[in-house]
Amino acid sequence: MGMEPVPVHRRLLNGWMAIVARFGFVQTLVILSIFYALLIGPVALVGVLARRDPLDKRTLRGSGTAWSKADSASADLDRAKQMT
Amino acid sequence: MNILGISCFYHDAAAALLRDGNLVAAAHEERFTRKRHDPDMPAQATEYCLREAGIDIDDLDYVVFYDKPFIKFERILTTYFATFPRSLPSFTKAIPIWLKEKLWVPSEVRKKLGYTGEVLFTEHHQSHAASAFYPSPFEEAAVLTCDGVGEWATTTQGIGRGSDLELIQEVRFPHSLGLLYSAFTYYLGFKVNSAEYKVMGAAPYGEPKYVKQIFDELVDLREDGSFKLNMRYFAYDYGLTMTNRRFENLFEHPRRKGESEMEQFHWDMAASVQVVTEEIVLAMVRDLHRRTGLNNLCMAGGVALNCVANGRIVREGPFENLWVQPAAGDAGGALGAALFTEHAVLGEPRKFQMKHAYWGPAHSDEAIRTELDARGAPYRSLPRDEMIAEVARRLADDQAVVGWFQGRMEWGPRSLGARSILADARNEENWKRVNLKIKFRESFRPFAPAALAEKAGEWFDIDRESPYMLLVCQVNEGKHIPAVTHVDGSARLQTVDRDSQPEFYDLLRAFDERTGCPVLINTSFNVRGEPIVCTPQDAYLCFMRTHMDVLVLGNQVLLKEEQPELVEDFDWRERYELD
Ligand SMILES: [Fe+2]
Ligand SMILES: [Fe+2]
Repeated sequence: MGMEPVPVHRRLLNGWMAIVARFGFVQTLVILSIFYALLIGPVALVGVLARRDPLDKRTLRGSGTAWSKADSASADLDRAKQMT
Repeated sequence: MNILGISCFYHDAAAALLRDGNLVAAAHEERFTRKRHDPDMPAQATEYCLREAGIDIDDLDYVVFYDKPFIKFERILTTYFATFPRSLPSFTKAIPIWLKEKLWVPSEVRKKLGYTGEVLFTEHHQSHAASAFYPSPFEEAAVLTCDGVGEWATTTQGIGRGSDLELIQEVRFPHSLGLLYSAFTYYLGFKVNSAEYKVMGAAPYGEPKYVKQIFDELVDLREDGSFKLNMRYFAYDYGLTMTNRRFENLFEHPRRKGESEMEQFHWDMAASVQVVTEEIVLAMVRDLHRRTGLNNLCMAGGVALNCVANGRIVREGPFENLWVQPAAGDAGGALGAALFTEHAVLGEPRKFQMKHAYWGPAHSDEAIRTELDARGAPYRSLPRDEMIAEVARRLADDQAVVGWFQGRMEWGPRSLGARSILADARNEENWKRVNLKIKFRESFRPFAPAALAEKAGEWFDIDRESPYMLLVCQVNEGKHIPAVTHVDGSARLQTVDRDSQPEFYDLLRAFDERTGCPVLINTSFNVRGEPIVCTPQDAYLCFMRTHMDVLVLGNQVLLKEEQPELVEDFDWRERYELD
């Protein structure tokens, strides 16, 4: 196990975690809040302007079905290897 | 072919090992770490499964994780987009954990399990569906999975045929029956993802007065069993709580504080959400029957642990047969992930049928004696039949409360006679005694009964087996077992057959011969807040810390009055959180 190279994302992450540990709880909160505002905010704004409803919360009393089709793509090994 | 399924990172981590399509071992991580609902990577459960199979981690062909982390993460980000800016507190709490481990499953598996091969992923509800269908006795069955949430799906309908399993349709987050139930659990002051069963147990004390209001305001149930929730009343999509102020205003009561007195309103709310849940489940089941025309139904997901609803499906539903896997919750996803890979992904034919729930570690009489000798604990080692006669006598004549430890540990959240506390169900006092003296709690719920399978029909209104304690039925008129009978005359029954648990079966028979009653109280072998005991040592400590009278470890019988005092340098009560 120790032989294996540490993947890049892991190294970045470890670096990030080290920074986070350095700055402590309040700073982490501040950084995360900035991320929230800068990353989530703009997309959310576009969503609002486009009147998107990704969680399907607006139409409550519908008459039709609330079932959606389940993804019925075949289960094969290639697909099983994906995290998506 | 060796396939290890794992479920973890949310609640109830577990591991399950398949060898050439047969289940070898399966266990919840909490039993080993002694941390209730332990969500961490199931390293000890994995180690145990490998030991049981006599193989090494390198002998595994695949490790399969029970959901798709990236899809789940996408759902979480989408939810943050949709609930900006209210979701800030939730974001700051959840994102660090995602960045730290939830997104890096393969490297976490490598690090914590020492596994270097391929990691596969199944979808959350595929795992649930597979855990319900593949081990079932049916060649062909309709499948219903229903829980809080996986990736996007919260409920799915599907069909299983041979080694094929297809999900047809689904209801998506945030519309979730499991989360609706958890929201009421939260509102009633109980612990979410843990104490839902208490809401079910509280329901018979109330009137379902709020059913109409719930259907009018909170839930839109459609004709075909699909539903939507009115998210104006819930906070779980954006916040750190389940319900919001609007919910409290609607029902004109603040959320109940944990451990405070239950008022009539609370009993009524519990009764109401229980009825609503049953109605929705029944509607979905009817729709599934219409759609598939099949006779057999398999269910999984946390909602399938609602044994009152299951009882109604059996009595009222159009399906002839119902099978629910004992670990119907997320722990069972470990088993489902492995089975889905074996059959749906690799196309191997089915051969395993689950006939019992005993897939955990066992301890030989020799190992038990070594442990007891090392402790200097006095015991008597009896021939098996004498041990059984002795325990039956103590239960019947002395009204003893007995810790009962036999064979392999249970898979799933219920104690089913392998790690159980037993007492005489005819004695109403035992309801109080076992609760106060052993569980150190007051409980409004009666205990569950275990009964000889062939006599269950005489004592309970039931026409089938219920080996995993997942069906609620009525106690028959004239049968007096008050310690296990709820106010509405119902009981959460486990039927015991000889093949799956010979010792427990023989004990029930011996007790029946002595008393004319084939029923015993069967409650989990633990104290409040503690996971069910796993090893003889756990059992001995639990025995000594409580007022249990007798402990039976295999063929070894221990009496409390003969034991030396247990000296501990800490208060074990502080180890376990309230449940
Ligand atoms: Fe689930
Ligand atoms: Fe879950």
